[in-house]
Amino acid sequence: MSKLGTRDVPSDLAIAQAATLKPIKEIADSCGILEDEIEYHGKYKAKLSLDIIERLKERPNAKYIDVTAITPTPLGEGKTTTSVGLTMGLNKIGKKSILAIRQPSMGPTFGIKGGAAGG
Amino acid sequence: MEDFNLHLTGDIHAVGVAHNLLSAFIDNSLSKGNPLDIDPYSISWRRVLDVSDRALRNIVIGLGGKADGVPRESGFDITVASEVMAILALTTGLKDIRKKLGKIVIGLNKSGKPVTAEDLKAAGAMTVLMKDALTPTLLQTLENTPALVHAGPFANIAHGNSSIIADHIGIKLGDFLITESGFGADIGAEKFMDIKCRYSGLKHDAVVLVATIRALKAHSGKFTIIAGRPLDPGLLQEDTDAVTKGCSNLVKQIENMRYFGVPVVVAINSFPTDTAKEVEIVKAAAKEAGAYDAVVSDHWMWGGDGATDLAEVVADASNQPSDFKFLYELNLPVKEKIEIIAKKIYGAKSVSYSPMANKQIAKFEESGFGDLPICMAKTHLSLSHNPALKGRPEGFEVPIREVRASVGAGFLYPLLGTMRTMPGLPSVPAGTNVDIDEDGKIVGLF
Repeated sequence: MSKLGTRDVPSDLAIAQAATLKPIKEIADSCGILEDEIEYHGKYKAKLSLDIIERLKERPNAKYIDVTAITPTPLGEGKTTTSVGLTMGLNKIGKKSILAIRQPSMGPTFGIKGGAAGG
Repeated sequence: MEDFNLHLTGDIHAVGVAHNLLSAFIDNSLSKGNPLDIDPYSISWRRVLDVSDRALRNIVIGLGGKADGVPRESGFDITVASEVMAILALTTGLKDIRKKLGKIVIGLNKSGKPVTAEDLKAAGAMTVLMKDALTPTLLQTLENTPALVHAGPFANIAHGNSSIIADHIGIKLGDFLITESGFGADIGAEKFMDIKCRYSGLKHDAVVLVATIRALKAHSGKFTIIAGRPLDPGLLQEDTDAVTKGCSNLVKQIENMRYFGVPVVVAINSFPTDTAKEVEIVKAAAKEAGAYDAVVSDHWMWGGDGATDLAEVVADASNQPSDFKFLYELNLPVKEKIEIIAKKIYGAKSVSYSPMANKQIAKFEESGFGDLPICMAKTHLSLSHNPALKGRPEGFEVPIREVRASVGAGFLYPLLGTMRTMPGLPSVPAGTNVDIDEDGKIVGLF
């Protein structure tokens, strides 16, 4: 059932800035990524080596889910929000889940509200 | 989130520099005696910048004098509209991206033959510039869930999906890999299946189709939603008639996804104004149309805790037997492929071609590009080519104005309208609110 109640909703930026991030090394460790396969960009970002694909090629594939939508209105229907929510929901029910999404352009970030991520 | 929306790890900059290096090679070749005999009027390779700047859409370059190059008309697109971005999203590795960059067609020579990045000897240097961008960036969600962020191609003139490389890595790291396709199911998901899955060799186990009661009401044709304007108050009140009527769009999109033979779960992305009656109508319509199930999700308020019902259903659906198939075979004639998409997915009655489109299709088939998949550049605001037609339009004819090729990325893209590849800014740009506060913290970024 829907757990909707009344709750003040802060801005996306305020939510993001209030989050407690783990060092990205911990996140990478939790996925079984080896130290040699990580290139750190500061504490909270890392690039992952393509060697992972070769090393884990015998491992069975995860279930692969594509999130899409009905024909949207100009306000969007929340595909990214749902993709993030679903990935976290799967983790809540004990399924180890990974999200793979696009990087937004900086053009809309400074243009139309809601044009970038978090809109 | 600031990082995610800003420079991140610089991939978009790399795409821009690689793209513009090729542009510079082209104009240099023209000014140094034009050894490849390039027809300057045929050059379709423009320049890119990751700033929305409408004043750069159409420009004249090479002004000054003989030492400053050959004057000609050109223009800028936003960086994510670059074919190099589409290539980054569709490549499988370093050797593959080298090949794909070499295949980029920048225009024609004076005998009408395609001129490539390989011909200009630019592809090697472009590959070097792209080498670091080839690796996906690992971030985390608010709940410390791993998130791979990689590539961001447009969803109209390109295929609108994150990278194959990130999926090849992510699919080995857990029990579930969740990815997202841009725009509606008729565009992003169709391209996910017919273009991305074809090149990645991966097959998805379930589709999640997101719907909102608000959008379904708008699909009744009773309300118009314009970004930046206040919502019609009618959209915030119970209106079971509008929801029932608007479900025609949901039903068609479910049918579209079922053509590919994989289970479909409808996620009702909840709003505080949704009523129980409205939700029941959507659930019933979804199941009748063949969805595996339809679930309300309020992750927007509760995070992962709000999406556990959805997660359970998606996990069940992904264990159902499925029989994935592409919508069309690549060896069909270009027009036949276009018509399969237009009729089956959009619900069109017929397709018409401008004289230019006819000429281009003949030329592509003659040049050996006829076997590429099709990437329709269509409005996302309607199942048809006309953004004003809501719900499930019928009986319309899809006009193909023009057909272009992204040979490097590996698709042909028919244009079903004017596609803007360099956005403009609104009268009050969101950037006017962005600043740093006393403590040096970013404010005003959404």
